[in-house]
Amino acid sequence: MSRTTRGALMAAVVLSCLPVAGTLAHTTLEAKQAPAGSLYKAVLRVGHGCEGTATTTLRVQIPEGVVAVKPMPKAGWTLTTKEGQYAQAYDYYDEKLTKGVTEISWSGGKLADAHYDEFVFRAKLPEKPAGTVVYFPVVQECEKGVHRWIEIPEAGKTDHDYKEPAPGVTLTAKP
Amino acid sequence: MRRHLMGWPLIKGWLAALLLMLAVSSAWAHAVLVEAVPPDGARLDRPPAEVSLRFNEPVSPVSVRVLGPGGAEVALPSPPKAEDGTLRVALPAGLAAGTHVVSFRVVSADGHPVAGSILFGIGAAPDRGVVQAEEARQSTLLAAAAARWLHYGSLLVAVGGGLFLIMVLDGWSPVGRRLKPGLCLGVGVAALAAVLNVGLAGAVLEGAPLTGLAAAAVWKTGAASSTGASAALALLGLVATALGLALEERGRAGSALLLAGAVGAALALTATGHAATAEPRWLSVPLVALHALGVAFWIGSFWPLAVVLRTEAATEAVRIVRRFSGLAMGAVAVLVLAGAVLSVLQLVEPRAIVDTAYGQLWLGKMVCVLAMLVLAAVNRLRLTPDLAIAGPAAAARLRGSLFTEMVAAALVLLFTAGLGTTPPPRALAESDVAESDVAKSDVAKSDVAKSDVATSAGFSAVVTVRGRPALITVTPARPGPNRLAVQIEQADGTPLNAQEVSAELALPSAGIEPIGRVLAKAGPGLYAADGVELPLAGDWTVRVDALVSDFEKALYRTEVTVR
Repeated sequence: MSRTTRGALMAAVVLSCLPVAGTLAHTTLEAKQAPAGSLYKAVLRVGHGCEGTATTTLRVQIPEGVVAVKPMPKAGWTLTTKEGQYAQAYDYYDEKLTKGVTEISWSGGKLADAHYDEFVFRAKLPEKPAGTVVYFPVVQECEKGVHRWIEIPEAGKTDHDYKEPAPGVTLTAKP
Repeated sequence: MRRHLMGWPLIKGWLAALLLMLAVSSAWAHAVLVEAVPPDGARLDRPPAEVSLRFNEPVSPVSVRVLGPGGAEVALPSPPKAEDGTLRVALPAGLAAGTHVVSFRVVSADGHPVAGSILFGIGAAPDRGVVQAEEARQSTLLAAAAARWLHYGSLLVAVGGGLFLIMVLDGWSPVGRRLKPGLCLGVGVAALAAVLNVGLAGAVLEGAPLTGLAAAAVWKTGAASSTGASAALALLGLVATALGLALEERGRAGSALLLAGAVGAALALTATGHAATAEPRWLSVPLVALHALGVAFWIGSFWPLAVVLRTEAATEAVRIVRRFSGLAMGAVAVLVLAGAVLSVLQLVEPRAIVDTAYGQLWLGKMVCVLAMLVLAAVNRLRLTPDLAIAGPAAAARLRGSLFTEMVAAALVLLFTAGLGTTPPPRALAESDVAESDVAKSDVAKSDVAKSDVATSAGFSAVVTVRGRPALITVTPARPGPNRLAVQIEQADGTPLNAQEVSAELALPSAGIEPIGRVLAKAGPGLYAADGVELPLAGDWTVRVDALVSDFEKALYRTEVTVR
C-alpha cells in the first residue's frame, strides 16, 4: 500500500469517525433506514444524561402503525409496557392485530452521564411508501432534569433545526 | 506533475470521507453547557471578576459579548480563554448595578457551533419568572405609588389653590396675599414630586431597585415614557401657576395664567395612567381632565379656607365660605359624574369590585370619597349656617371638619395612586377579547399563519402550528424588561393546558444568542414570564416550546420587533 493511499484511508477513517463520536450527544436510533413492513431491531443509543446527572428512566412512545413490539429486558432496569387499542387492525402474518404496546419504559436504572448504553426493542414497521420517516419520541429522565427527544420536524425542516429531535427511521422500498 | 498524481488519491479519500460524513451528519454532536459561574439568573452583591462557562467537552470561543444594563456593550479587558472545556471571560472592574447578559458562541471539538446566553444581576435579581421579579420590584413599586401619591396631591392642591384665588376670592384681597407664600411652597413641592415621579416610573419600567435611581438610564426611561410627557405638562402647568401667583394682582393676565396652570395639571393627568387610556379615549380623556379639575378645586380649597376661617372677620369668612360652597357644589357634581363614568369604563362589571385587586382599591377609595361627601354636606348644611350665627366657635368647628376632610382626601389620593399600579379589570377583559378573537380567526387553513396586531402597548402575533393557534404577546416591546405572554388553544378553540411552556429569545443580527425562560401558568391556556430582559432594539426571534403531552411538543416561532 503506497503512502498516499494510506494517507487517504487515514483521512477517511478520521473524518467518518467524527460523526460517529457525535451520535453520542443525541439519543438516536442505530439503524437509520429499514424496509417498510419489515421487522426492525431498534437500538436506542443514549450518550449522556441531563445537566451532568445520571439517566434513571427511558420511555419510548410507539407511533401508530408500528406493531408487534417486543422490548428487550435490561439487567438493572425495570421493564414495563403500556398497551392500547390501535386506530385500525394491522396484518401480522395470519393474525389481525387490534391492540398492542404503545409505550415502553426502562426505569430504576442508573446510567452515569459519563457512560454510554443502548436500549433495544423489536417492532414491525408500517407498510408505508419509501421515504416516510417513522419517529419514536423518547423521554429521558435523569436524577436532575429531563431530555425530551420528541421534536418531529415540520415540513421543510430537518433534525438540525431542533434541539431535541425525536429518533427516527426512514422507510425504504420493500425488497 | 508527479505531485499532482500523488495528491489525487488523497483528495479522493477526503471526498469519500466527506460524503460518508454528510450521510450520517444528522448525528452531529452538541457540546452542552454544564455549569456557569455565576449561575444563570444569579443575584450578586458585588460585580464578579470573571464569568466561567463549563462545557461537557472542549470548546473554543467564536464570539462572546457582555451587555450591561440598558443594553450597553461592555468592553472586555482581554479575549475569553478556553481550557479543558471551560470558557473564562474576564470582566472589567466597576460593572454597573443591574442586569447583565453574557452571550456566547463557541465551537465544540467536532466543529459544531453552540450558542446561548446567561443573565446575572448585580445588586438585584435579573428578572427570573413571575414571583422573584415581583418580590425584587416590590419596594420600587411601593415607592413609585408613594411618589405618585405625593405628585397627585401636591399638584392638585397647588393648582387648586390658584383656582381658589381667582374663583372664590375673585380679585385682590389681603387674604389672597397671605395665602401666596404657602401656595408658592406648594408649587415647589409639586414640581419636585413631579420630577421624582418620573425617576420612579423609570425604575418600575426598568425593573430596577430603588438604588437604580442613581443611574441615568432609569431617568431616561422614565422621561421617555408617558409619565415623562405627563410630568412635562405638569411642570408647564406649575410654571404657569407660579407666574400667575406673581402677576395675580396685576389684573386679568394673572388669573388667566392660574387657570392655564390648572388646565395644564389636568391635562398632565390625562397623558398617562389607566383611567385616560380606557377606550373610548374621546370619552375617557376629557372625563379625566374634568375629574382632575373638579378635584383640584375641591381639595385645593381646604387649606385656603382654613386660613380664611382663622384670620378673617366673621362676616368676610361667611361670605367667602358661602361663595366656595356654591361653586364646590358644581365642581363636586362634575367630578363625581366623571368619576362614575370612568369607573364603569374600568371595572366593566360589578363583580370585578370584589374579584379583583383593582376593584378592592376602588372600593376603598369610594368609602373615603363617601366620607368626604358626608363631611362636605355637614359643612354646607350645618356648619356654614352656624358660622353666621355662632362666630368664632363655629369657625373652629368648621376648620376641624376641614382638616378631617383633608385627611380623607389624602386617603382618597392614596387609593388613587394604588389604582395606578394595579391593572384594571378592563385590561384583563381585553386579553379575554383577544383570546376569543383568536378562536374566531380560524387560521388552520395555512399551517403557519402569522398576523401582526399593531397595538400601542407591545407586540403580538398569532402563530398556528398543526391547527393550534398561539397568541404571542411581548409588552411593551421596548429595550429593557418585557412581559412575554403566550395564549395557546386547541384546534377546537378551547384553552390548551400544557405541561410546560418555555421560550427562547435571540437577536441574531446583534449577535445575542438565545436567552431561555420558563413561562409560568397565568390562567387557562395562558403562560407568561415577567421581566424578560431584551437588552437591545431589533427584530428578536422568539421560539416557544409548549409540551402538550408527555411525548408531544408544539413549537411556535415568530419575530418580535423591539424598538
